[in-house]
Amino acid sequence: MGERAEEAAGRERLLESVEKPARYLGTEWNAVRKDHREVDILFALAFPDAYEVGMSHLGSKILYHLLNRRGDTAGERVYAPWVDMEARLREEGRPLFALESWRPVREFDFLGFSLQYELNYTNILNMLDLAGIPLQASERGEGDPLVIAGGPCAFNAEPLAGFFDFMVLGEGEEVLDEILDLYARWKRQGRVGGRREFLHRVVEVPGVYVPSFYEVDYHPDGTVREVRARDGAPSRVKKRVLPDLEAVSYPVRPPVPFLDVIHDRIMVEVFRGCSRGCRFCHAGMVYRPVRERSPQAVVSLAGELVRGTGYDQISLASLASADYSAVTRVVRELNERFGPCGIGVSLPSLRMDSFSVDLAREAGRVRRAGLTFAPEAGSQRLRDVINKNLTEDEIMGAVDAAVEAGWDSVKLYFMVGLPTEGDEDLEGIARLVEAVSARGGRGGKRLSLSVSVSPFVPKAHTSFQWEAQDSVQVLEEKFRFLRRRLRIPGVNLSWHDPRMSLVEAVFSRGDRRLGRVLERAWRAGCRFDSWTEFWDFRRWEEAFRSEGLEPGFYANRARPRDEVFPWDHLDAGVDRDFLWEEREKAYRGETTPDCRWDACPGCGVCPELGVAIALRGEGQM
Amino acid sequence: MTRQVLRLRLEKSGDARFISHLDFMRTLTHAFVRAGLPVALTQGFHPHPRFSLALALPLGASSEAEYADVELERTVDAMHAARELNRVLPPGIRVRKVQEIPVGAPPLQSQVGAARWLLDLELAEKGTAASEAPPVGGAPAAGEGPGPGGGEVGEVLTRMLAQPHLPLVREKQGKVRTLDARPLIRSARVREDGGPSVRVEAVLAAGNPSLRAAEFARLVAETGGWELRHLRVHLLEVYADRDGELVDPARLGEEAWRDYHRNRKLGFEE
Ligand code: SF4
Repeated sequence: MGERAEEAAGRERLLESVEKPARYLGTEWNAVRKDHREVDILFALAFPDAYEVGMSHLGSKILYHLLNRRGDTAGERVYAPWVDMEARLREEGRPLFALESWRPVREFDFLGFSLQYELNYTNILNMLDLAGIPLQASERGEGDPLVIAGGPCAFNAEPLAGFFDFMVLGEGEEVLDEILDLYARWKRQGRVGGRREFLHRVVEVPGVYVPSFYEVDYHPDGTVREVRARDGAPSRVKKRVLPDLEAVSYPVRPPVPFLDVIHDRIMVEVFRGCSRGCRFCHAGMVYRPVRERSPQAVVSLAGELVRGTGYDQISLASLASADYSAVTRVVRELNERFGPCGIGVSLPSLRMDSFSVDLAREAGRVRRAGLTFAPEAGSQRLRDVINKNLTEDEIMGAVDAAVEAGWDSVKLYFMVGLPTEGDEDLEGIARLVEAVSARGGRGGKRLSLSVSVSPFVPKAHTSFQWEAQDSVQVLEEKFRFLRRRLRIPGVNLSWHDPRMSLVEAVFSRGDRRLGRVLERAWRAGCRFDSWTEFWDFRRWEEAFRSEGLEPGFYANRARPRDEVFPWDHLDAGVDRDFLWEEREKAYRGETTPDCRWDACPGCGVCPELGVAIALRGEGQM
Repeated sequence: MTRQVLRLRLEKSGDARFISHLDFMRTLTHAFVRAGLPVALTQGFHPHPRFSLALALPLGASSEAEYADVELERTVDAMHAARELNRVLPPGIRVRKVQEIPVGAPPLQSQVGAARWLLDLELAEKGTAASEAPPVGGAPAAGEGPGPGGGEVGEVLTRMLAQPHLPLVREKQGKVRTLDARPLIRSARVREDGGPSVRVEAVLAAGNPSLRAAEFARLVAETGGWELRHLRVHLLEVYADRDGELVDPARLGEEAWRDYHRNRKLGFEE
């Protein structure tokens, strides 16, 4: 057999030996397979979770499109190989490959990870290891790819600082091109000065964070004393933000997976950012300000996407699509245009009010989706504390509207362990669920309710970044209370593992020392930590113990106002003073209005980054 | 506008053999939308496209006889439809033939009774590492040494066909059941003997009841006292089975038209 034939046979045998080979083909419709001899830059776009999760992620579709729009770049995808594939790769000694070319990712120029969730971090180390790339950035040689990262968790990826050559804060659309232009030039110059020189050049690009250019000093108690920038790096790295969504080309031909992935539908991003100001919400802070796409653009993108992908479901994507200022008109228009072809519309993440339910009904004319609401807290008082501007009347109005429109099941999300929470607030969850359940009794049929309860996880860059998370024991007690109280027919209660939330909390406000814990946990076998079938808390406990670090220090400790945070030099544009004031207001039970419809409460993003809210609902269609 | 039913004969080869049956269905549904072909929808709360595949191919098998019956909202030129689909199908999936079928004719899915398979069997003498039979397209077990050649496999096939009964153990949802596989094998012969594997062509019952290609391969290995180290399966054709007479889809389509015209003449509505 020739070398090519042998390689092809090896590939087939590998695909034959895994449960879902379609994860690894790289031949999906719209996958871009370029001849590597015709490009200068190979960029492996990595998502540290299963294919089905990564292929559902809108941000990755956008970056894939922007990479491949460049004539000089081949952008290829790589996901965390499932455990059966991992075992085969290790057995064969075959390095991790990118899907489109099946070329080892270690031969690429860049390996760029999307950081969406702390419990994916062990997968990053596992993928680096499978790729045969040294874990530590400091140990990589000239032949290794630049390992970089972006995404919401980059705003505090300090626990990952040692593993990345650099990271990008904020929205990637523009900065990606700047980085690649710089890289192309450096490569043409014969890679003068090696990767170190490239880091010195790229650190000049706004939004780029080179962790090795910063030194961290700690107090004896383990808190940060100071983060010092060296090597000409900026003392604070400001996030990048795209002032006008329509200024950048949108992916209308994203790869269409063979497998049934989590969000297997068209996604049209109707706006970015959210200024409702929920005080626990990380996305609500780091993606400010709100920038909408015009209704005309939304409708025309939807049409192009239908032709480009063949999906029969259009989802209007954003952090809260019912807030889109043209939502009613757009939903109606999409239904009129595409409904007759059997193409439906859906709205993820609805507010809990009758307006949203009406919208969902209108959207569901072709194919009706389930209703999911997130009241988050059970009492009005606590909803005010977290600034979830939602009244009991609105909640009940939503339920009545849903029942009237014919829904017979609803999903409800709550959080427990929120700051200031007391017994009456937990009792409030129980009472609210009872009340909602009782509303459905009409017509003989009970409303069936799935109630999901998650522990509150304090996040960096939010008003609750100073707060303590409840201990696992306290959280479990609270859950037991709810379980006792919610033994109601038709109510199904589920619970997010508080130990998972503990590890998430540790890493979301962690410092660089945690890199060692992460590496140890991965070496002990942790991977796919967000998947209950692989989650193993004992390994994590063991890793913390071995490294002499206490999870409680990071998760369960309330911080004083002036503590230096590990992420203070990473600037999402929101004022730290504003966040503290919001925290104070939370404790007073005062709410803050949304700057889209009320006065600007001064979070700082707009003046700091030179951007503005963009509402475009009035536009023609 | 009048509706129309097309019967497509597709090829599923190369990487496409790694697409599961359900995923293949979805892939085709997407392709219809991309091609601008208006597939008719079922009525009801969860409408889905009026579209069916004749046979569920096992994962890992390739095929030149993937038949899809699809009902369109309006009449289109059949050749044009095939061309448009081929423009938007991923690598390895191609429409090779298209036939128009009368609206209301029974779907091929309900008529299929047999299928003609090519099986590449990699067999080894027993005694090395004992192993379970791999699934279709499964990985080879460890162990070297030359296996039986085409002559020996041919003898075993003859022996199998001469048996009045061939007990086969089938496990379904944890329940073990023994059935007689002999009546489910219509024919079997060695086609080629090349390299490490022997190529067998077999016509096996399909639809209900059916004998899976992998089960047949297991029977061959068991009868010969061999170990099945690797199996590769390819579907050549499907048939309706009329008391032993195999009728191919093209003829079924012609018959459907004949029935349609006869009913029209007799004044029946479709
Ligand atoms: S600066 Fe004001 S207007 Fe801009 S996002 Fe913040 S609160 Fe809203």
